[in-house]
Amino acid sequence: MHELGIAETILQRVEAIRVENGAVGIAAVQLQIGDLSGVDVFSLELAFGVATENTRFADTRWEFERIAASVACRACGATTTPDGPFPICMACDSTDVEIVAGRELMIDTVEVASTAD
Amino acid sequence: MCDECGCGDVVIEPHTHDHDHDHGHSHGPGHTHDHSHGHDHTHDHDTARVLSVRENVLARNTELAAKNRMWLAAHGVTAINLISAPGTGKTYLLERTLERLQGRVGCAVITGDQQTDNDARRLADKGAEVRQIETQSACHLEAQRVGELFPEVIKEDTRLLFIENVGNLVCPTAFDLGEHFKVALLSVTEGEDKPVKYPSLFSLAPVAILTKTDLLPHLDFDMEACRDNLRRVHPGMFVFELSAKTGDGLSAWIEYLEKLA
Repeated sequence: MHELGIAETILQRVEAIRVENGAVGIAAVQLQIGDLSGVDVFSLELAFGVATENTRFADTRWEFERIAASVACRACGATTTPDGPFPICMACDSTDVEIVAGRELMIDTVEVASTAD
Repeated sequence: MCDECGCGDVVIEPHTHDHDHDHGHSHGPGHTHDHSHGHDHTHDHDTARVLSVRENVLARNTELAAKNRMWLAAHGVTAINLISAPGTGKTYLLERTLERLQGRVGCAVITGDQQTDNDARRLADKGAEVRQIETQSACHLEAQRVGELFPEVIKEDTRLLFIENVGNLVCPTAFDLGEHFKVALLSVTEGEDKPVKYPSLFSLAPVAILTKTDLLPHLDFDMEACRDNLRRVHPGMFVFELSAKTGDGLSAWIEYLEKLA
Protein backbone atom coordinates (compact mmCIF):
# COMPACT_ATOMS: atom_id res chain seq x y z
CA MET A 1 0.00 0.00 0.00
CA HIS A 2 2.92 2.34 0.66
CA GLU A 3 4.88 1.14 -2.38
CA LEU A 4 4.59 4.55 -4.08
CA GLY A 5 6.20 6.20 -1.06
CA ILE A 6 8.90 3.53 -1.03
CA ALA A 7 9.51 4.08 -4.77
CA GLU A 8 9.83 7.83 -4.19
CA THR A 9 12.28 7.27 -1.33
CA ILE A 10 14.37 4.99 -3.56
CA LEU A 11 14.25 7.52 -6.41
CA GLN A 12 15.50 10.31 -4.12
CA ARG A 13 18.41 8.14 -3.01
CA VAL A 14 19.20 7.04 -6.58
CA GLU A 15 19.14 10.67 -7.75
CA ALA A 16 21.59 11.56 -4.98
CA ILE A 17 23.87 8.71 -6.09
CA ARG A 18 23.63 9.93 -9.71
CA VAL A 19 24.66 13.46 -8.71
CA GLU A 20 27.48 12.24 -6.44
CA ASN A 21 28.90 10.29 -9.36
CA GLY A 22 28.42 13.00 -11.97
CA ALA A 23 26.41 10.64 -14.14
CA VAL A 24 23.91 11.71 -16.77
CA GLY A 25 21.59 8.84 -16.07
CA ILE A 26 20.99 5.61 -14.27
CA ALA A 27 20.87 2.52 -16.45
CA ALA A 28 19.73 0.06 -13.83
CA VAL A 29 19.01 -0.34 -10.16
CA GLN A 30 18.99 -3.69 -8.44
CA LEU A 31 16.83 -3.99 -5.35
CA GLN A 32 16.56 -6.75 -2.80
CA ILE A 33 13.08 -7.32 -1.45
CA GLY A 34 12.56 -9.77 1.38
CA ASP A 35 9.45 -11.92 1.41
CA LEU A 36 8.64 -10.56 4.90
CA SER A 37 9.41 -6.91 4.06
CA GLY A 38 5.76 -6.06 3.59
CA VAL A 39 6.55 -4.74 0.12
CA ASP A 40 4.79 -6.22 -2.87
CA VAL A 41 7.14 -6.42 -5.85
CA PHE A 42 4.36 -6.10 -8.40
CA SER A 43 3.01 -2.93 -6.73
CA LEU A 44 6.52 -1.52 -6.45
CA GLU A 45 7.12 -2.10 -10.17
CA LEU A 46 3.89 -0.27 -10.96
CA ALA A 47 4.89 2.53 -8.59
CA PHE A 48 8.23 3.00 -10.39
CA GLY A 49 6.34 3.26 -13.65
CA VAL A 50 4.18 6.05 -12.27
CA ALA A 51 6.89 7.85 -10.32
CA THR A 52 9.45 7.92 -13.16
CA GLU A 53 7.13 9.01 -15.95
CA ASN A 54 8.63 11.99 -17.81
CA THR A 55 11.70 11.99 -15.56
CA ARG A 56 15.32 11.14 -16.29
CA PHE A 57 14.60 7.72 -14.77
CA ALA A 58 11.92 6.83 -17.29
CA ASP A 59 14.24 4.32 -19.00
CA THR A 60 15.97 3.03 -15.89
CA ARG A 61 15.73 -0.75 -15.47
CA TRP A 62 14.41 -1.78 -12.06
CA GLU A 63 15.53 -5.26 -11.14
CA PHE A 64 14.09 -7.07 -8.16
CA GLU A 65 15.76 -9.85 -6.27
CA ARG A 66 13.43 -11.62 -3.89
CA ILE A 67 14.98 -12.76 -0.61
CA ALA A 68 13.32 -15.79 0.93
CA ALA A 69 12.45 -15.76 4.61
CA SER A 70 14.80 -17.64 6.87
CA VAL A 71 14.25 -18.37 10.55
CA ALA A 72 16.67 -19.63 13.21
CA CYS A 73 14.98 -21.88 15.76
CA ARG A 74 15.70 -21.34 19.45
CA ALA A 75 14.26 -24.77 20.25
CA CYS A 76 16.19 -27.08 17.89
CA GLY A 77 18.79 -24.76 16.41
CA ALA A 78 17.85 -25.38 12.77
CA THR A 79 17.71 -22.55 10.25
CA THR A 80 14.87 -23.14 7.80
CA THR A 81 12.69 -21.35 5.27
CA PRO A 82 9.04 -21.31 6.34
CA ASP A 83 6.61 -22.38 3.62
CA GLY A 84 4.09 -19.67 4.52
CA PRO A 85 4.00 -16.17 5.96
CA PHE A 86 4.49 -17.34 9.55
CA PRO A 87 7.81 -17.53 11.32
CA ILE A 88 7.74 -21.25 12.10
CA CYS A 89 10.66 -23.72 12.26
CA MET A 90 10.19 -26.25 9.47
CA ALA A 91 12.35 -28.79 11.33
CA CYS A 92 10.46 -28.99 14.63
CA ASP A 93 7.36 -26.76 14.17
CA SER A 94 8.42 -24.47 16.99
CA THR A 95 7.31 -20.85 16.76
CA ASP A 96 10.15 -19.73 19.02
CA VAL A 97 12.28 -18.53 16.14
CA GLU A 98 14.23 -15.49 15.13
CA ILE A 99 13.81 -14.09 11.63
CA VAL A 100 17.31 -13.97 10.15
CA ALA A 101 16.40 -13.11 6.55
CA GLY A 102 13.39 -11.93 4.61
CA ARG A 103 12.87 -8.42 5.97
CA GLU A 104 15.28 -6.85 3.44
CA LEU A 105 14.37 -3.71 1.56
CA MET A 106 17.73 -2.81 0.06
CA ILE A 107 19.26 -0.91 -2.82
CA ASP A 108 21.88 -3.47 -3.84
CA THR A 109 23.61 -1.98 -6.89
CA VAL A 110 23.17 1.08 -9.08
CA GLU A 111 24.49 1.14 -12.63
CA VAL A 112 25.31 4.74 -13.50
CA ALA A 113 25.64 5.68 -17.16
CA SER A 114 27.37 8.59 -18.82
CA THR A 115 28.05 8.92 -22.52
CA ALA A 116 31.74 9.11 -23.27
CA ASP A 117 31.57 11.57 -26.15
CA MET B 1 36.79 -3.95 -9.59
CA CYS B 2 36.90 -4.95 -5.98
CA ASP B 3 37.00 -8.73 -5.65
CA GLU B 4 35.47 -8.62 -2.21
CA CYS B 5 32.01 -7.50 -3.14
CA GLY B 6 32.02 -6.63 -6.82
CA CYS B 7 31.97 -2.90 -6.27
CA GLY B 8 33.97 -0.41 -8.24
CA ASP B 9 34.22 0.86 -11.71
CA VAL B 10 33.67 -0.99 -14.90
CA VAL B 11 34.72 1.58 -17.45
CA ILE B 12 35.01 0.59 -21.06
CA GLU B 13 37.04 3.28 -22.81
CA PRO B 14 36.51 4.11 -26.48
CA HIS B 15 38.80 1.80 -28.42
CA THR B 16 39.75 0.44 -31.80
CA HIS B 17 39.58 -3.10 -33.08
CA ASP B 18 41.76 -4.28 -35.96
CA HIS B 19 40.86 -7.49 -37.67
CA ASP B 20 43.05 -8.97 -40.31
CA HIS B 21 42.85 -12.45 -41.59
CA ASP B 22 43.90 -14.36 -44.64
CA HIS B 23 42.53 -17.60 -45.75
CA GLY B 24 42.60 -19.74 -48.77
CA HIS B 25 40.01 -22.03 -50.16
CA SER B 26 39.44 -24.07 -53.20
CA HIS B 27 36.50 -24.40 -55.54
CA GLY B 28 36.70 -27.70 -57.23
CA PRO B 29 39.47 -29.31 -59.22
CA GLY B 30 42.45 -27.17 -60.07
CA HIS B 31 40.88 -23.94 -58.89
CA THR B 32 42.48 -22.29 -55.91
CA HIS B 33 42.90 -18.74 -54.90
CA ASP B 34 43.86 -16.75 -51.87
CA HIS B 35 42.31 -13.64 -50.70
CA SER B 36 42.72 -11.42 -47.73
CA HIS B 37 40.54 -8.92 -46.09
CA GLY B 38 40.98 -6.62 -43.22
CA HIS B 39 38.97 -3.88 -41.59
CA ASP B 40 39.32 -1.33 -38.89
CA HIS B 41 36.56 0.10 -36.83
CA THR B 42 36.30 2.47 -33.94
CA HIS B 43 33.41 2.82 -31.58
CA ASP B 44 32.47 4.38 -28.27
CA HIS B 45 30.82 2.43 -25.54
CA ASP B 46 28.75 4.28 -23.00
CA THR B 47 30.77 4.23 -19.85
CA ALA B 48 28.84 2.22 -17.35
CA ARG B 49 29.73 1.81 -13.73
CA VAL B 50 28.07 -0.58 -11.39
CA LEU B 51 28.15 0.80 -7.87
CA SER B 52 27.61 -1.45 -4.92
CA VAL B 53 25.25 0.49 -2.68
CA ARG B 54 24.02 -2.15 -0.21
CA GLU B 55 21.83 0.35 1.56
CA ASN B 56 18.62 -0.16 3.43
CA VAL B 57 15.89 1.86 1.69
CA LEU B 58 14.52 2.96 5.05
CA ALA B 59 17.99 3.74 6.43
CA ARG B 60 17.23 7.47 6.78
CA ASN B 61 14.05 6.77 8.75
CA THR B 62 15.86 4.22 10.91
CA GLU B 63 18.60 6.76 11.67
CA LEU B 64 16.06 9.39 12.71
CA ALA B 65 14.18 6.81 14.77
CA ALA B 66 17.41 6.06 16.64
CA LYS B 67 17.79 9.78 17.36
CA ASN B 68 14.19 9.90 18.61
CA ARG B 69 14.89 6.95 20.89
CA MET B 70 17.91 8.70 22.39
CA TRP B 71 15.97 11.91 22.88
CA LEU B 72 13.18 10.05 24.67
CA ALA B 73 15.64 8.19 26.89
CA ALA B 74 17.35 11.46 27.83
CA HIS B 75 13.96 12.89 28.86
CA GLY B 76 12.80 9.78 30.72
CA VAL B 77 9.81 9.19 28.45
CA THR B 78 8.39 5.81 27.41
CA ALA B 79 6.81 5.94 23.94
CA ILE B 80 4.16 3.52 22.70
CA ASN B 81 3.25 3.24 19.02
CA LEU B 82 -0.43 2.26 18.73
CA ILE B 83 -1.24 0.54 15.44
CA SER B 84 -4.49 -0.93 14.13
CA ALA B 85 -6.92 -0.88 11.26
CA PRO B 86 -9.17 2.20 11.07
CA GLY B 87 -12.13 1.93 13.44
CA THR B 88 -10.59 -0.38 16.02
CA GLY B 89 -11.04 2.24 18.71
CA LYS B 90 -7.54 3.66 19.20
CA THR B 91 -8.74 7.20 19.83
CA TYR B 92 -11.60 6.13 22.08
CA LEU B 93 -9.26 3.98 24.17
CA LEU B 94 -6.83 6.90 24.38
CA GLU B 95 -9.60 9.24 25.56
CA ARG B 96 -10.47 6.88 28.41
CA THR B 97 -6.78 6.19 29.13
CA LEU B 98 -5.89 9.89 29.41
CA GLU B 99 -8.87 10.47 31.71
CA ARG B 100 -7.74 7.67 34.00
CA LEU B 101 -4.11 8.79 34.06
CA GLN B 102 -4.85 12.50 34.41
CA GLY B 103 -3.14 13.93 37.49
CA ARG B 104 -1.26 10.65 38.09
CA VAL B 105 1.02 10.15 35.09
CA GLY B 106 2.16 12.93 32.74
CA CYS B 107 1.04 11.98 29.24
CA ALA B 108 1.52 13.31 25.72
CA VAL B 109 -0.06 12.25 22.44
CA ILE B 110 0.97 12.51 18.81
CA THR B 111 -1.84 11.34 16.58
CA GLY B 112 -1.69 10.72 12.85
CA ASP B 113 -4.43 10.75 10.23
CA GLN B 114 -4.45 11.48 6.54
CA GLN B 115 -6.79 14.43 7.04
CA THR B 116 -8.48 16.47 9.80
CA ASP B 117 -7.53 17.23 13.37
CA ASN B 118 -10.67 15.50 14.69
CA ASP B 119 -8.64 13.11 16.85
CA ALA B 120 -6.58 15.88 18.44
CA ARG B 121 -9.80 17.70 19.32
CA ARG B 122 -11.28 14.54 20.86
CA LEU B 123 -8.14 14.10 22.97
CA ALA B 124 -7.85 17.73 24.08
CA ASP B 125 -8.58 18.88 27.64
CA LYS B 126 -7.61 15.58 29.23
CA GLY B 127 -4.42 16.82 30.83
CA ALA B 128 -2.12 15.74 28.01
CA GLU B 129 -0.31 17.73 25.34
CA VAL B 130 -1.73 16.59 21.99
CA ARG B 131 -0.49 17.25 18.47
CA GLN B 132 -2.02 16.07 15.22
CA ILE B 133 0.00 15.08 12.17
CA GLU B 134 -1.95 15.16 8.92
CA THR B 135 -0.04 12.82 6.65
CA GLN B 136 -1.99 13.77 3.49
CA SER B 137 -1.44 10.86 1.11
CA ALA B 138 0.87 8.87 3.36
CA CYS B 139 -0.53 5.79 5.06
CA HIS B 140 1.85 5.82 8.02
CA LEU B 141 3.82 8.11 10.33
CA GLU B 142 7.55 8.56 9.81
CA ALA B 143 10.29 9.20 12.37
CA GLN B 144 11.13 12.72 11.19
CA ARG B 145 7.75 14.38 11.65
CA VAL B 146 7.12 12.57 14.91
CA GLY B 147 10.52 13.58 16.32
CA GLU B 148 10.02 17.21 15.34
CA LEU B 149 7.02 17.35 17.66
CA PHE B 150 8.76 15.92 20.74
CA PRO B 151 9.88 19.30 22.14
CA GLU B 152 6.33 20.65 21.75
CA VAL B 153 4.44 17.82 23.44
CA ILE B 154 6.90 16.60 26.03
CA LYS B 155 7.05 18.64 29.21
CA GLU B 156 9.14 18.31 32.34
CA ASP B 157 6.74 15.82 33.96
CA THR B 158 5.81 13.80 30.85
CA ARG B 159 6.46 10.10 31.35
CA LEU B 160 4.32 8.45 28.67
CA LEU B 161 4.03 9.35 25.00
CA PHE B 162 1.27 7.71 23.00
CA ILE B 163 1.82 7.78 19.26
CA GLU B 164 -1.47 6.96 17.57
CA ASN B 165 -0.51 5.86 14.09
CA VAL B 166 -2.59 6.27 10.93
CA GLY B 167 -5.31 3.61 10.89
CA ASN B 168 -3.66 0.92 8.80
CA LEU B 169 -2.67 -2.61 9.68
CA VAL B 170 0.19 -2.92 7.21
CA CYS B 171 2.29 0.14 6.37
CA PRO B 172 3.00 1.68 9.81
CA THR B 173 4.69 -1.58 10.75
CA ALA B 174 7.61 -0.87 8.40
CA PHE B 175 8.50 2.52 9.90
CA ASP B 176 10.34 2.66 13.20
CA LEU B 177 9.46 5.90 15.01
CA GLY B 178 11.89 5.46 17.87
CA GLU B 179 9.14 4.15 20.13
CA HIS B 180 9.93 1.67 22.89
CA PHE B 181 7.42 -0.80 21.52
CA LYS B 182 4.39 -1.20 19.32
CA VAL B 183 0.93 -2.11 20.56
CA ALA B 184 -1.37 -3.86 18.10
CA LEU B 185 -5.09 -3.23 18.56
CA LEU B 186 -7.75 -5.54 17.19
CA SER B 187 -11.47 -5.10 17.76
CA VAL B 188 -13.65 -8.15 18.23
CA THR B 189 -15.78 -7.05 15.28
CA GLU B 190 -12.84 -7.64 12.94
CA GLY B 191 -12.61 -11.42 13.08
CA GLU B 192 -10.33 -13.69 15.04
CA ASP B 193 -8.10 -14.48 12.08
CA LYS B 194 -6.67 -10.98 11.62
CA PRO B 195 -3.38 -11.85 13.35
CA VAL B 196 -2.69 -14.59 10.80
CA LYS B 197 -3.95 -12.49 7.89
CA TYR B 198 -1.68 -9.56 8.81
CA PRO B 199 1.22 -11.21 10.61
CA SER B 200 3.74 -8.42 10.10
CA LEU B 201 2.25 -6.15 12.77
CA PHE B 202 1.35 -8.89 15.20
CA SER B 203 4.78 -10.51 14.97
CA LEU B 204 6.50 -7.20 15.82
CA ALA B 205 4.22 -5.86 18.58
CA PRO B 206 4.87 -7.44 22.00
CA VAL B 207 1.44 -6.30 23.22
CA ALA B 208 -2.03 -6.75 21.73
CA ILE B 209 -5.28 -5.17 22.88
CA LEU B 210 -8.57 -6.80 21.93
CA THR B 211 -11.07 -3.93 21.98
CA LYS B 212 -14.86 -3.54 22.03
CA THR B 213 -15.38 -6.66 24.15
CA ASP B 214 -18.78 -5.24 25.20
CA LEU B 215 -19.98 -6.33 21.75
CA LEU B 216 -19.08 -10.00 22.27
CA PRO B 217 -22.66 -11.11 23.17
CA HIS B 218 -23.78 -9.93 19.72
CA LEU B 219 -20.98 -11.59 17.76
CA ASP B 220 -19.67 -15.06 16.95
CA PHE B 221 -16.16 -13.96 17.82
CA ASP B 222 -14.11 -16.89 19.16
CA MET B 223 -11.78 -15.36 21.76
CA GLU B 224 -9.79 -18.56 22.28
CA ALA B 225 -9.20 -18.95 18.52
CA CYS B 226 -8.06 -15.34 18.36
CA ARG B 227 -5.60 -15.84 21.21
CA ASP B 228 -4.34 -19.02 19.47
CA ASN B 229 -3.78 -17.02 16.29
CA LEU B 230 -1.89 -14.34 18.22
CA ARG B 231 0.31 -17.01 19.78
CA ARG B 232 0.97 -18.58 16.38
CA VAL B 233 2.27 -15.32 15.04
CA HIS B 234 3.90 -14.10 18.24
CA PRO B 235 4.57 -16.60 21.02
CA GLY B 236 4.53 -14.95 24.44
CA MET B 237 2.54 -11.94 23.26
CA PHE B 238 0.96 -9.99 26.11
CA VAL B 239 -2.80 -9.67 25.47
CA PHE B 240 -5.36 -7.32 27.03
CA GLU B 241 -9.10 -7.73 26.53
CA LEU B 242 -11.11 -4.62 27.26
CA SER B 243 -14.04 -2.41 26.51
CA ALA B 244 -13.18 1.28 26.65
CA LYS B 245 -16.92 1.96 26.60
CA THR B 246 -17.95 -0.04 29.69
CA GLY B 247 -14.54 0.08 31.34
CA ASP B 248 -14.33 -3.73 31.57
CA GLY B 249 -10.69 -4.78 31.55
CA LEU B 250 -9.49 -1.19 31.40
CA SER B 251 -7.90 -1.27 34.86
CA ALA B 252 -5.36 -3.93 33.84
CA TRP B 253 -4.26 -1.71 30.93
CA ILE B 254 -4.02 1.38 33.15
CA GLU B 255 -2.01 -0.49 35.80
CA TYR B 256 0.31 -1.74 33.10
CA LEU B 257 0.88 1.82 31.86
CA GLU B 258 1.48 3.10 35.38
CA LYS B 259 4.24 0.52 35.78
CA LEU B 260 5.85 1.68 32.54
CA ALA B 261 5.82 5.33 33.59
